[in-house]
Amino acid sequence: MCEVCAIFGAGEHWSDFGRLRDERYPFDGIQHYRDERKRRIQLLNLVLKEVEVSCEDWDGEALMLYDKAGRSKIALTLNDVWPAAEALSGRCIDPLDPSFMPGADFV
Amino acid sequence: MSDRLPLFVVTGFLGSGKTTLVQRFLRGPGGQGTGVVVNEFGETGLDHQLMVHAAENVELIGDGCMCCARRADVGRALYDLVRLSRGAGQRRFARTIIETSGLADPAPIVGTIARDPWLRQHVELVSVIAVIDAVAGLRNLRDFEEARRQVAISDALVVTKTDLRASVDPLDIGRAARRIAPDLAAHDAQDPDFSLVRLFDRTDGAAATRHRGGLFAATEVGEHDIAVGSFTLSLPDRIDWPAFTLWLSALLHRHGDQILRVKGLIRTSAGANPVVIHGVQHSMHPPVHLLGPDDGQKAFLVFITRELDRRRIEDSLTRFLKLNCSSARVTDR
Repeated sequence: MCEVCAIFGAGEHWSDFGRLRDERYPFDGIQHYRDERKRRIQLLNLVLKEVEVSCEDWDGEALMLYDKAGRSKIALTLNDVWPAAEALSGRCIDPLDPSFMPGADFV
Repeated sequence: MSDRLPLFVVTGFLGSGKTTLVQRFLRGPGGQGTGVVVNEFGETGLDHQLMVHAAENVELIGDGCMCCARRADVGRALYDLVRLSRGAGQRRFARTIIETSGLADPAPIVGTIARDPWLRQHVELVSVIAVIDAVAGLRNLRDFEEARRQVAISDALVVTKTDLRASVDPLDIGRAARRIAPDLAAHDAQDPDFSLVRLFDRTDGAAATRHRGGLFAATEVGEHDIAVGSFTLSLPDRIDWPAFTLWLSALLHRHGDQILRVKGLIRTSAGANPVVIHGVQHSMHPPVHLLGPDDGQKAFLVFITRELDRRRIEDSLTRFLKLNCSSARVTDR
């Protein structure tokens, strides 16, 4: 937990519940949540690169999105990332578009 | 999370027998301690001391998408019920039932709970139950978009009035409903084996029913003559949870208004247990973790969509799951 802000950093979005939480000690597996968050942000940057937006962790609780000009927007959850990225880039993010992410690195 | 008030939404077209079904449950064994929220006083009329009337009040927000509409009435009624249930000297409610009006779209109710942080903490949406009558049900499904949406968003279907002479075979109704929602668990209200206690039971209504009771026995549905379609995607044994959530979140952001329902059973990089996920249009619910021994059921996703091509969704998921991120994968510790 961040002792200054009292932020636990496990997240309350549905995507933060991939693992069953211990109700009495919900932040026991905090390292797992941090690792997962880190990986999600790395993946997000691969996706957002297509609309020339980048993303950084903001105190383990929110995400900060930047465009090339340095303008920024905060996304509190994963749901908020997409409208924020579209607002910054002026472009539409459509995962069903086969031409989306042409330059991404696939395994 | 288990301290949350279990909530069941009972939906169904006009005259389908929603109130009768709820009343039958309230008066029978197991109905005690149930809070009820109704949107309209129907012909049957509920006489129940724990009833709250919430005048239907839909607030459209954003771009007017129905699932993003906020049902302020439902939010307020649930807030009152939770407070009442937790008040000093009060016995906690065992469950709450919301009976929607006959033309209501249940999506805003589901969305209201999913998006309200306070409600998420205090209320657990266990299942949406569609009531359809065996006399007019098939015609309603054919003629009314409202009836099709109610079925599309539901987890379980109860066919009523099967004892009437003009009724059609409940199996035909079940088949018609499954053309909209292939994994729907259909029950005949007149069947001696049908149990309302099980229908309104938290464990049976949630993951256990979905998992074992056939709700997830989804089958591929071929061509049909309605605008709403459904399909099942098979998934790899274990998928990367961050990549999957990224994909689903982006998909629902862009196409949520065309995805009436998504549900599935998956195994992920985040934990050992299988996970049940379900969402309605733009709203996803917290995953349900299936405890106990894994029976090895194959992982899959069911989509109930409007004019969305299966191939595009499948290709898109495949591409997202193959995104190459140089960092080490998150492992189960």
